[in-house]
This record gives sequence, C-alpha cells and structure tokens, in this order.
Amino acid sequence: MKPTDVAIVGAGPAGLAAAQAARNEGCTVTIIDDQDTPGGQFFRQPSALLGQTGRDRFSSKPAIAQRLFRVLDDPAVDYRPSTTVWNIPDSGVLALACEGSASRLHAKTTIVAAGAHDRCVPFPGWTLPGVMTAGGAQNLLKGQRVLPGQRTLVTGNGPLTLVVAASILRAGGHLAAVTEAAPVSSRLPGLIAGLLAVPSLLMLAASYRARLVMAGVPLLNGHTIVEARGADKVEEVVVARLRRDGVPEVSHSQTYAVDSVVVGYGLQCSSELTRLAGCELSYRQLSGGWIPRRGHWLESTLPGLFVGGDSAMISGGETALTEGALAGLGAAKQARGALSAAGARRADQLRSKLIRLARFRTTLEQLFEVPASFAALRRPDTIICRCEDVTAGQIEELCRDSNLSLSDIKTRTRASMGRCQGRNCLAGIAEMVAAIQDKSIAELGWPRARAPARLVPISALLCESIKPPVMPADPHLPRAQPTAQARPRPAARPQS
Amino acid sequence: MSDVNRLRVRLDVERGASFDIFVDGVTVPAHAGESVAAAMLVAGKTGTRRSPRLAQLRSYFCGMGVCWECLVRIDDTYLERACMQRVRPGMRVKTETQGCE
Repeated sequence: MKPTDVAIVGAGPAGLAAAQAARNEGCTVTIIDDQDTPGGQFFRQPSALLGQTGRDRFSSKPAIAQRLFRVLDDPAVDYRPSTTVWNIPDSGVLALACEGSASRLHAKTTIVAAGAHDRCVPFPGWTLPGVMTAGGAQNLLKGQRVLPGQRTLVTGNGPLTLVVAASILRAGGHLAAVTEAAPVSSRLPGLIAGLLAVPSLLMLAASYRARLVMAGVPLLNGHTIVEARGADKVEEVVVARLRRDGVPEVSHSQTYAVDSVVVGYGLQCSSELTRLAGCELSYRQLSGGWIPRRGHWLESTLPGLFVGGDSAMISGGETALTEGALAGLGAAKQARGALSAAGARRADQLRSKLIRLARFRTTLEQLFEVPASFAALRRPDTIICRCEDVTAGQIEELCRDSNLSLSDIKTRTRASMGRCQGRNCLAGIAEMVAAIQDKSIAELGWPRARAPARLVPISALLCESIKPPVMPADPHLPRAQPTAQARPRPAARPQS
Repeated sequence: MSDVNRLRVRLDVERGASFDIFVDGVTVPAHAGESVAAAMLVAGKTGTRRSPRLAQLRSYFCGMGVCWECLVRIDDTYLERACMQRVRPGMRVKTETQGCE
C-alpha cells in the first residue's frame, strides 16, 4: 500500500490548517478524527441533521471554519471521522480503530493535532449530575444548541470561563454568577501591553465581559466554587473568596441555588500519543502538562512526527490554526523533499505570527496565574478518580506512609485505571503526590503510556494481525509435540 | 414535563419534528442530529451510570468522549458514551447498567 504523504490526527483547527497547508504543497493527506463531525472542540458544529440555517453565533470565526472544512472535500484528502488512533507502533505507522474494525495506516509523516481536554480540579460535590466541564458546556451549546441548565454557575480559572459564560447568555440562559479564581481586574492594568500583542483577542474578551456586565451577572474575581450540594443532582453551590495562598475563606461564602455548574480550570494537552510514541517531553502544568520538545517546523524529537495546536501546548484556537499550518508545511517539506517558494514565505509569516501569539499567551498565563493547585478545595472524602471512586484521603494516606511512586499509588488504589485512562485525574494525583512528597513531577515518575491510547472495542483489536510474541520454551510441557495446523488468523480488514 | 424544550436553543438551527427515544422505558422526545446525552439532559434524565464503589449517580461531564461518565447501554450495545452517540427513532437507552447487568 502506498503510504500517505501526511497523516493528521485530529480534525480541529490545527489538523484542518495542517491539511490545507500540506495540500497546497501537493501532498496526499489522511485526516483521522474520533468525532463524527469535523472542527474539533473549537470549531464544533451542530450536526447537519439538526437543520443548520448557515449562521453560527457560537463560533468566534465561522467564516474561517467554513473555509477550512472545504479541504475535506478535496479528493486527495482521505477524511476518516469516528476513527480512533490507538497506537503509533512504529515510525510512520498508525493503528486505527473504527466501528469494530481495525486497520493500519502508513504515512511518510505524521502530525499529532489531538487537541486538549479540561483539567479537573476536584472539590466536594464535583461528581454530582449537573456539574460539567467548560468543554462539556461548550459542546452542548456549539454542537447541540442545548443549555447546560436553567440556572447555571460558571466557575474556574482562565479565559475559557468567560467564553462559556458569554455563550450561555447568548443562548438565552440564566447565570447565577461567574467566578474567576485569579484576581484578574487588579492585574489587568500592568499586563495590558502584552495583551495588545494580539488586539483582536483582547477585543473579543472585552466584548464577552461587556455582555456579562450588561446582563447584570455577578462577576466575582478572586473567587472559586468550594462545594456543590444536592441529592442526585446539584441544587446549590457555595462560592468563596480565595486568599493569596490559595485557601478559600469559607467564613465569607455565598450560596447560590442552581441546577447546573460549569467548571473550567484550564485545559490539559492530549499527550497520550506523544507519550506513547516516545517523544521527548517536559512537564509544565501551566502550559497544559506534558509538552513535547519541538523544532523549527514543529517537529518532535522523533523523525517524521510533528505536533501542533493544543496537544503541544495550551494556546487556543488562533495558535492552533497557525501552528497547524506550519506543521503542515514542515511535513510537506519532509514528505516531498522541498517546499514551494510560496510555502517557504508562508512559513516565515507563520513563525512571526507565532511569536506575537506566544507573547499574548505568556501574558495570559500571568494574568490568570493562581497559587497552588486548588489543593485546599478537596476534603479527605472528595473523589479524585471519578472512574474508580478513589478519594483524596486514600491517596494522601498512601503517599504519607512511604515514598511510593505514582505507579505504586495507581496499582494500590486503582486510581487512574478506569475507562478515562487517567485523563481526568492523573495530572491532579501527580501534583498532589509531588506536593506531599516534596518532589518535582519529573522525579515522581509518570506511569508509562501504553496502547491502546484510547479505549477501543476488543472486536476491533481482534482483526489486527499482530505476530504472537516469541515465548521461551516451557520446561513443564511435553516436548516435541507435532504442531497441529496453525489456526488461520483473521486477516486485517481493509478500510475503504 | 413542562420544562422539556426550555433548554433547547433556537439559534442557527431549525429542528425538524421530534421523534421518541426511550430512556429506561420512559419516552423522551429527541430531534435528528442530537446526541443521546443532549436529549436526556433536556428531558431531565441526567443520571447515566452509577460509580462502582460508592454507587453515586453520575452524568454528562466532559462532553467530548474523554471521561466515560455518561456511560449507558444503547439497544444491545453496552458501554456506549451518550455524548458520542446520535439519537435514532425508537432507540432504547438504559442507564445505571455499570456496562453490564
């Protein structure tokens, strides 16, 4: 089978921009995405079946999205929705699973543009129905045109909180309050110069804020949720001011009656594929966790593997679009041997744009920086691992007793061993253990990433023709049994 | 329930006629193109799975297929994420199955 020039994991802004850039250089492209509609989280669209009217009031860049989606109709682009990349077993090989069948894709170059997911900050009651992530609420609004509830508290840290709150208002929802953990207002004057690096994004944030103020929604800076209460559904929430050391002042708390809570404490890079493939990474909590080391063309330390957008570092949609295009050009250069003159010029422009965007991002990180990791919000009975019901107390007790490694804590408690494969909890547990044992994340030893990178049905794996491992001879078995005819192995089902 | 539909936003979409899906035997109206999770949420059927040790009711959380909290059984398929599946007329959704029964 002829390998595709560029395989792209993820059809969000970075993946689509990469596809377009690679196509402009004449490459063949395969885009794999685990969702059934393109756009990722940033450009998430309602399904065509929902009766779109053509307008999109929930996207900050609807025209750019529509232009990018056109690349998927290009006959030289093989777009595979609802497909999971569950392993990168070898350089230039992707293991795919799609609706009960598996296949392998061979590619000259690969771009990981897998995006990000919400970082979880556990607090009492965060597992109650009605409490959802900022990404979850955005998906309801963008992809379903459904409000998260009748009366909502939006709480968290970072720019996404403001975006979600403004979207809920636009959709006609009611907000009890919006809380931002960082004392943003008092910091803003000192940081305005850095934010002016990208005036359009600053204006957008100002318009979101104005929408909240006009609607009379209480906007509480330096506050956080401390508890959600309710029987089998959230009924009320407690909000308190955060002291400078990150401890909430529960004596001065407010309670709001709500039926839904949107929690957005920032995002985490989807790093499972870069970890699994063995890219060189470093841990930076503020930037989204495991950050791959990348070169001039956004190539990782592995030959032929590029990383772009939020799966490389949390930087937002604008950066994802720019990085995706640059990675697409880098991959095209490698796959085809050279770039066109226009492509080379474009790469230079993209790099200077990335410098401005990086300045904006570092300023945002300063603006929204908060002390500690909200450790003061959890109580011993607060659930840390949602899948397996492991509490903060269980983990704290284990790490005080001895200098157990993260992997030891994982195997003893089952924390991070559930269906989410640690995406919800592992970073939080690592930070908790690191703080208690006074170690850096690097010293802690992160559990090894293993295939499958995402849950895939066993039926899909059964059609993989993987060589059985060579086992040493078992001395207890009778020897020299004439081998019965080897069972025919089901052939890998070709993917159309 | 008079609250049904209040959460559906009528911006940029013109939903067609609704059809029925069944959540634990209860009729829930849904529109083509919606996710199972969205149809359930609008109808007030928020609970999806029970947690394994503490048997807490859980629900739609991440909305993008990462957290697996919205785990339900759909027709004869166990272990489906309600946020990743689109509604089909007559679909039977079962909650609190722990993936099996």
